[in-house]
Amino acid sequence: MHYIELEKDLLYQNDKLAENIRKNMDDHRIFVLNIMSAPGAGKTSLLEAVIPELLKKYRVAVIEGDIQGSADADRLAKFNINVHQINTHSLCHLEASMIERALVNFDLHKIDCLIVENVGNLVCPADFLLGEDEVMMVVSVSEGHDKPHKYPVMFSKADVIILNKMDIIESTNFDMDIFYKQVRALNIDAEIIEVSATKGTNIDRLVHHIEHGIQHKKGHHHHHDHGDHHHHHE
Amino acid sequence: MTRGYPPDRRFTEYTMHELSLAMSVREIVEDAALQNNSRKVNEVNIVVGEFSSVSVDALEFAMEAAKKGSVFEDANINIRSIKTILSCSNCMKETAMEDFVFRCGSCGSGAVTIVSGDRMYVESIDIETQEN
Repeated sequence: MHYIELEKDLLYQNDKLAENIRKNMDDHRIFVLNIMSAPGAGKTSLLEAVIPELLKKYRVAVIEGDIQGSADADRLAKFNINVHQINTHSLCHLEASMIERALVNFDLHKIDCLIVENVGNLVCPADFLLGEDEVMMVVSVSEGHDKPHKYPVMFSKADVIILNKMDIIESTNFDMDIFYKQVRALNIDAEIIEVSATKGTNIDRLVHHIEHGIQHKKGHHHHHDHGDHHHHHE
Repeated sequence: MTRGYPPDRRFTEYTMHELSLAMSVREIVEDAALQNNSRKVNEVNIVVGEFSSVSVDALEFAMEAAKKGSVFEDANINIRSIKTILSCSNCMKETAMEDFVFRCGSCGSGAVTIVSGDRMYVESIDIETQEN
């Protein structure tokens, strides 16, 4: 009998892969957005509103994560952009290895912004880094104002929170004060943007937010030519 | 405590997330056994933070599937849940998180960061060393 201390993280492999993807995206100066929400919060509708605006200035590509089918990817096909569908087959979240495999379908030199639409689920995706610059969480008023309290991990990890379906708020009992209070108890920094994807309300602010991320990624990454890579050893 | 209810999910959904983590445990344990020249593991100790998305029950269940044919096929799997510990930059104290709210348990400040309890890891294993 021999006792061995390991302290080895279960997500170590995923974190390592995510870090590699992140470096690859940095090298290509691609802004990566990981979008998470419950099913039906309006992730794809939001993309349908945002993508045409982004396309006026930037090259956008999308990775769609769904348990089954290509309904979401089909909806985005009309924009004539590169969309890759991942089917997770009953797995509740995307993992970095799936993103790594999906990336071979893209010409990374021709992308400014990569949007990853995660599997609709408010629990598991929060644990799996995908090499993203930002975690965007979409929550709709029809889900109720107590969602932050019920899903603390995801709300605490979001960099930006989109409150969708503002156009129907009058038909719900959604309490804005309680929602903001619950979010702020978990996340002090995340910007909260109130929108209606289908009505187009406040979409310009969301577009501006993403644009800021794209610009930041382009500007703040110092350029280096081939053969001049800096290697960091751990 | 807001958690602790069994998740209302279908069987496959209940287990799939934890199964992928259980397979990660398998990889870690197999690696460690190999490095230490062992073919039999007697005990695997896993720690799951309260502020992670894992259900201990589901992970226990998934580990039963993941251990089949591995070096720890007959091992005892112990999964321990730990509380989330927050560090306060205002009063410099460390306190346990209550009700998943980011607030210092000592001075009430919101200027806190998670020190531990948001990860899950294989803490240790007990192996049988090779006999010649």
